[in-house]
Amino acid sequence: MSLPAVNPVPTQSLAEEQIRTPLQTAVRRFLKNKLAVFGLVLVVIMILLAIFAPSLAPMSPYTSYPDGTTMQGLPLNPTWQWHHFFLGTDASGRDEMSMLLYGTQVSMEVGFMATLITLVIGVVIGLISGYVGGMLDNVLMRITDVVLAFPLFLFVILLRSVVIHPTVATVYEVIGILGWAGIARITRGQTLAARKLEYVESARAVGVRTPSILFKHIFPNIMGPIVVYGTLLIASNILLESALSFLSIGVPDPTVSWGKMINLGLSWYQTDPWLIVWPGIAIALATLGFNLLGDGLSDALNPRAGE
Amino acid sequence: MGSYLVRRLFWTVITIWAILTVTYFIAYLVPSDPARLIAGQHASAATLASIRRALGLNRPLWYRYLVFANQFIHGNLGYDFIMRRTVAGQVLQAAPLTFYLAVVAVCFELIIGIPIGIIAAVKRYSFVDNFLRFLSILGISMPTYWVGSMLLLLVAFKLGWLPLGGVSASGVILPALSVGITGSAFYARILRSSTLETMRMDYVRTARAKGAKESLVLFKHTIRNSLIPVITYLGLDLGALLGGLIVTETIFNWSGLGFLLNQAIGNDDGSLIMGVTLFSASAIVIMNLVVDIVYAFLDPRVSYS
Amino acid sequence: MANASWKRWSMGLAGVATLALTASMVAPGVSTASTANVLHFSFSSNIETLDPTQWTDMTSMYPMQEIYDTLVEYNNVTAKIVPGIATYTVSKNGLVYTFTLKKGIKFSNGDPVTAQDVVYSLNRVTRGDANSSGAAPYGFAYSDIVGYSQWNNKGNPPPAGMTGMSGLKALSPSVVQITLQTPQAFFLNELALMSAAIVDPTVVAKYGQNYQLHAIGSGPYKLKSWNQGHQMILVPNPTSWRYTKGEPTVVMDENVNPDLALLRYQQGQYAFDFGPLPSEVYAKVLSSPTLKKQYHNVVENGVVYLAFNTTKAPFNNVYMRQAVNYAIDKNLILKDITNGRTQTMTQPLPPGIPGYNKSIKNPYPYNPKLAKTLLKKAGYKGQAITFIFPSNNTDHIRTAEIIQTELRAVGMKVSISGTSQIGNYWPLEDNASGNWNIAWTDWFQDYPDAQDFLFNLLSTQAFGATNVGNWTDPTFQRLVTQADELPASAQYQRNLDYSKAESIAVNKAAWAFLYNEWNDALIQPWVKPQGTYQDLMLYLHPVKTPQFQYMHVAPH
Repeated sequence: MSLPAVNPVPTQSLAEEQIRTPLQTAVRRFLKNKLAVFGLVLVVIMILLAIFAPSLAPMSPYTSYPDGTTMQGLPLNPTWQWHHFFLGTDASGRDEMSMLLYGTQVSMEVGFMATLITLVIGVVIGLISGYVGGMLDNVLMRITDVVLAFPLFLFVILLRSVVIHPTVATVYEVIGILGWAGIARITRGQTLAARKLEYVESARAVGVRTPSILFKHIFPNIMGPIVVYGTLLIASNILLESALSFLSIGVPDPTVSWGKMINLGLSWYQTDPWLIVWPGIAIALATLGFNLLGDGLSDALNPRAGE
Repeated sequence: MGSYLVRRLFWTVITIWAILTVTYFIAYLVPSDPARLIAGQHASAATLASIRRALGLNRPLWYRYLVFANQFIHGNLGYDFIMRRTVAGQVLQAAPLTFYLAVVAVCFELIIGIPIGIIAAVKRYSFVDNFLRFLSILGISMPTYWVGSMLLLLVAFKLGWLPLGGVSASGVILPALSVGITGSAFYARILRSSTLETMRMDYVRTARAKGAKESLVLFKHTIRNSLIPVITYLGLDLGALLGGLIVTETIFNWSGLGFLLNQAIGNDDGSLIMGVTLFSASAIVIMNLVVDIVYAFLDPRVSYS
Repeated sequence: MANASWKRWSMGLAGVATLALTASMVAPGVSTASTANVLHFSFSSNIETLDPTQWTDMTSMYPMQEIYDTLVEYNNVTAKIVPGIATYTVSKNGLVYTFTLKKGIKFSNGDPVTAQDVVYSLNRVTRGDANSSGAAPYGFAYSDIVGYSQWNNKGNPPPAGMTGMSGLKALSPSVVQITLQTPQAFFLNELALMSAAIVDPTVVAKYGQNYQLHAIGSGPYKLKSWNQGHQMILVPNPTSWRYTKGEPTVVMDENVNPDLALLRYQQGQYAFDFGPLPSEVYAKVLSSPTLKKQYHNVVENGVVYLAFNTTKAPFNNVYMRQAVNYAIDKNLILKDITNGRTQTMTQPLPPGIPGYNKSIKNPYPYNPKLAKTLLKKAGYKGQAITFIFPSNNTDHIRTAEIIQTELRAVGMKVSISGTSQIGNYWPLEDNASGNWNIAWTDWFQDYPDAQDFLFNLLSTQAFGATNVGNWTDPTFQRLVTQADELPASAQYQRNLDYSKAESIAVNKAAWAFLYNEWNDALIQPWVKPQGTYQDLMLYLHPVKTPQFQYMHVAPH
């Protein structure tokens, strides 16, 4: 729900040193960190599950099976039979295992897309602001300050609650559009530092066009912190989606997401606890993966973290 | 310093105005019919028309915006659609409860987060560090409402140690704890990295070189300085904290702002949604202002240019 | 300097934290008073109002029925109209009602209840006043009283010098006469609604906008305190004409979510857990022998159905509508949504309403094959069909999902579209030509009379309003209009007309019939009602709330 806490990156010196830090050093450092590797493995598994969900799912996640509930219309216990309600059913007689797999798609889609939108807006504003400077920088940063002061979750709720016919895209657009201020600030700081680098200065001197300098010379240098921030943001966006679903303003029906499964299952915790156990574990593993990966990347890319 | 204050104040006013405008127009996007909300499913068309007239819904949008802005300046947020009570009154009734819960929650965050952060830094890259970091990341990765529901069921229902939701002196513990568990991880992470940074500072090295006791170095020189980013984050965290509270208050029936907002969303009560959002956002902006000013006074290293 | 401040800062923080912890640890837990003569329970929503002019909702009826009296009321068990604070006579033509107030009826502040107070109360609710945003939602219920339209004047100020409806007169301090334009068999039912509660004019005048915080009536209880949105406490009113010693105090918590309400009930804090209980709570009941014994259930006079948009293709075709009826396995819905706690709907009227046609048993048994044949007959070629529903409740969402699955199974291209804003959902009545084909709809009775269903939900007069899909049929329309205008004395003829009208609506598949509303509740064994627990469940009927004054709280 909260913005991920990025290790305070010392903007000036980091960018300078990073250029001299070979990629291999970072990779080696990353691989030495067992937690980070574990995170990477989790993330890869989640992405694979999301991609192959339709072929992996044993049943349909959207079908209310007539034999999917007890005589009183209550959820079934796990049967541990793959093609017959492996992890049990929800109150509508839908297969939990299949919903869980399809839910991976939604969580990944919302997590990645919202983050992508945030990063694109934030990085472009930050790059321009930091590179062009002057009046434009001033105006952009004042706007950023104002947006940064908006409580993100409140406005996501407000904006999402006024959309009558939402789609999955609505959810990640709303999250993405409101969240860019933090990354804009970070990018601007990095850009300011990178602008002073020798080869950037010389590129300017020989008359390379501004967009080319921005995206070919500066951007690659400042990618480290952005990747770290983005990875952590994916985790928090997955949680944000589930919190929206908890308030019944998440992805629309009949789309299934982990957050929605928890929302529908939460009040069953007395009689059918697995209804929140499965999606709870799924959310925890996915966010854990991204958080560990982000932390690991942060350590690996930050030369001052020390060996 | 004086001009810093003036500039900071100016931008706070601009921010609140922006929030007011954005909130108003987003809330206006709700094509929901307040008259129908007031009158219910069984009411006739004539009844609806006269309610719309009474609410001034036949006026143009810009006119209503100006009326609303003027009311806001005078501390009036209008009436909600369901109960016909003043929104300002309800918000002011709920706000102290949220504030109380937030303070206790932050205390839990710090109580849990600070020791984890310091121990992780001191024992960096050891098994203990990895374990603690894993634990705190696990904390962030669990949805607050999941933690909240489990605490409610185990501690309040099964064990009967604490009240089953509602507002009471001891009722604050569980909701605050569920926010605290998930929120503490942020502080642990910040504190860990800032402690690592501080430990490399010259004056810490000097102290150590002079043969000062390790515990003295740690507590006197390191931790005190490492706490600065924690305090900064405390200010930034308010918005996120409030977000977490919306869900937590709902689970624990803690009738603060989040509870009120969730209820307003459920009732589709645009007036109340707008009022709560506007108030909370403004409160957060003003708190940030206060934190910044206090920070400016406390830390001479902050530049005001 | 800076370092010293930081030290103080952190010390202060630690101090606050310790203080907060200690304070919360030593604070007492909730005490469940076991011998107190108190009925404590909760609602999941607000008690919206105590002012009859603003009343629209079920929850507010609980306190209002205790605080106020009405001229006539429902018998606890039979749900038939009986005298309340007045006896009455009706003229032969069914137009003139004369009420004589019982002797010695007083408001809880000691003021006597007079005929003028009755006239004042009814004139107030038909006009609305300053604190009811210009109109009283239920004022239209009295629109057949002579002089209503001039007095109400569509919300505009009434003509100068007019002080009330001309058909509403106080003949003496204890006699009220009401004259109607046309006979209305259900007029007395409307006088038993909470909108017709008798208020004290001096109290209304005294408190104005804040009236409802000081609401008083002549009922068995009076308002002790109300922290709006949180808790209301009612105490017995010793000046009530039905006061008996030892009546329990009533404490009602507002806005308590159902999960929490069940846990508190299980801990014994709450005397009741009023329903309709969510499926997950019912699941808990089934799994617990203790709770099973405390569970009570009743089918209510309410309907849940799908309305068809008959203003355009494809559902202007009767075969299409029949196909949907055959394609839906109503028993599956009954099982999955209601857990079998009610019964499938066979016709527009619920079984408790006079005019219910017993000969209609199961008009559209589940038959997907027949549904496919009918689709062919209708010439359906896979046009997109939009199903709309209010998604503010998980049961509605599940219903929509199940129905979508079933309709797709017979080849209908159905997409479902939920609206979480209930205020957006109702206005669909205003644009029946809107972009939808099937709409989830429900209706609770306002009073147990067929008119409340057939006229409101299926007549041409309700087009673009509560007749959601603008369905109509000339014979149906004629029968219903005819029966509506007969006096109560011709109830037998009315029932015949309504029964015939019902057959038409069923044969022409006016709706897809799903199930009747139900109500259920958990009641602690230490709550002793006047009759049986099943009688108490009948109080829960939408027109009548439990009468707390007749309950005893046994030591527990």
